[in-house]
Amino acid sequence: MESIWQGFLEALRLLAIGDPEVVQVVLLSLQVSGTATAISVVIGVPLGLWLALHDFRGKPVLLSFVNFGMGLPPVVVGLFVSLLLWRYGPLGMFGLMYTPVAIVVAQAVIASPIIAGLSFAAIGSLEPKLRLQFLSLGATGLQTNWLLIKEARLGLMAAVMAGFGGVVSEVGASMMVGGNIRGETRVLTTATVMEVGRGNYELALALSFVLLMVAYSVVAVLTYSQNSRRQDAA
Amino acid sequence: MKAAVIDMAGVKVYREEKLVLDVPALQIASGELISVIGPNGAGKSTLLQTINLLLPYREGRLRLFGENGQENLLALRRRCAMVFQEPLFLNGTVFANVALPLRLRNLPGAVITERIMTVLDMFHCSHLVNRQALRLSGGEAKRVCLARAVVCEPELLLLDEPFAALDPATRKNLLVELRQAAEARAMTVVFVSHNLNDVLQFTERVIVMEKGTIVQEGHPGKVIRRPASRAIAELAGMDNILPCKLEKTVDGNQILLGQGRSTINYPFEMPDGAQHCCLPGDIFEIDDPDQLKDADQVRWTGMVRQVIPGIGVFQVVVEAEGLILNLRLAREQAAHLVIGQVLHFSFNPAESHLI
Ligand SMILES: Nc1ncnc2c1ncn2[C@@H]1O[C@H](COP(=O)(O)OP(=O)(O)OP(=O)(O)O)[C@@H](O)[C@H]1O
Ligand SMILES: [Mg+2]
Repeated sequence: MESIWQGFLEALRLLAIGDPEVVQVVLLSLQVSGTATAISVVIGVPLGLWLALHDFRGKPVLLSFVNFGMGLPPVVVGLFVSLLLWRYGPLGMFGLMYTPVAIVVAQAVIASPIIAGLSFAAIGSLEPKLRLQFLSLGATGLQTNWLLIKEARLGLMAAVMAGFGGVVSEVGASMMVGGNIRGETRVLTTATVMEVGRGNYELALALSFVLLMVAYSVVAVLTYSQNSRRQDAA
Repeated sequence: MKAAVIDMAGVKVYREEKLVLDVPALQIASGELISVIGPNGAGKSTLLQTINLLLPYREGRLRLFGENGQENLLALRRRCAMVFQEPLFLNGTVFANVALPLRLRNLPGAVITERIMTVLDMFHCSHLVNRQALRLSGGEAKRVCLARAVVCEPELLLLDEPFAALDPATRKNLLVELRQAAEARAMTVVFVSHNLNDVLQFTERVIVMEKGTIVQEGHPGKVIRRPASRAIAELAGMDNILPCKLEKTVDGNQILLGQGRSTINYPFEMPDGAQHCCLPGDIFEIDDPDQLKDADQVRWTGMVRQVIPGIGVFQVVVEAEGLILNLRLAREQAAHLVIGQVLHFSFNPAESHLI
């Protein structure tokens, strides 16, 4: 109990004095997971929208894959992305292994199905005739999709938060494709694991608290914007 | 005949591999007001959605305003407006919802505001302008939907039971106003309703649908007296729908009612396979038993069971010939009737209708 409290205080201290190494790790975590989430939104939301609005023969199969993808083990994703990116792999010529880009790729693979699956659920829970109503009012196909996205925004926001929460907290893939290189690919989770390995429990705890605070702040900002928009509407 | 706004031929619509709409031919002229009636699941909403180019159809041809309904969907849709059976709004104020079709057409803000105010006024919902659309009552929501449909001044207005949730006074006012607006702007209106009163007030032509297809078409007055099927007779509020058997004898055709206890001589063509005899309640006349009557008349005697008052017309339930009959009689004839009283009455068999 004592050490948890000390870890918390240490976390506050590290943030308060702006410890350069911690700050750098925090910023990289935000950057990498933020970028991965953004990429996943670009892939996942249209995919979810498309799945929700179309009926075709293989749909149940595709949906089962998306749902399965929502629970992909990060370590397995890390392994596959490593195989693609390592020097002799099919994408080896880009030299991306052990760079932040590699982590972004792995995390996007993890978050895309999460965001696609939850977007599908969010759009799918709208009244199906709403789409026809918008078309009937004279909306183009694109305008209709945009209106539907706006109507499902609460569910879509939840999808984005779940995607971000999933990648900012995963360690297996970041470790495997990033390598936890100090000043280059060290993110909050890999740093925590490393400090635990070295026996620096206090620092590990401090980093965990920083991670929690970072994750909470991002989610809080999203939640707040959600609510304020709902009040705008009211 | 004026140019056809809607011209359908052989259109078939499938939903989940099931044929739900099959229209061999339908033409609606410019400026015409036309009603569609039919039992639940008949395909009325499907017909409107197909005309609004919202549902794909596999076969046939659909022309709107003389143009091919497979091309330029957006441009054609923007000349139409539809009120769906259920109110569908986006999360926002009434203003935002009514503004949507105008915004989608990129109209300037000042025009939008002015038009919205005019149209909300017309449908008696100016006071709702800043309310949340999703929190309106059923009747308020319907009125806002009507306003949203009319606000972009469509050439073709498709209404799917627009008055279903309205109180009788509002209903009557809106019906009159909508009709005036349609006539003033030469709007073509297709009006789906379950309420025959509305249909009679609103339109000169009615289409009757059943099981995805058009089974009858004509003046509403005719559909009321000569429905094409039992379902339509019920829908149209036919007073007496009596199970019957038909017999063709050397003396002429006969209709057997009440398990054969009663016979009507029917000197007309009999449709094959008819199982019901419809007798509109207003064909009956009360007789003086001593007075001689035209021999062609069917004369029955029965006992009064119930007298239901009404304005102008009373409904009198009579048990006669083993049948329970609903008669519509003028007030001066019915007001003095008492329950249990014996009643002599007659009707012209030509007024009966076999289905
Ligand atoms: N989205 C849908 N998917 C599959 N089948 C549908 C769908 N919508 C309607 N149907 C079916 O199509 C048929 C016609 O439905 P439609 O809604 O056109 O009937 P309706 O005449 O408008 O009935 P109501 O008076 O109840 O409104 C029904 O059998 C219905 O079950
Ligand atoms: Mg319907």
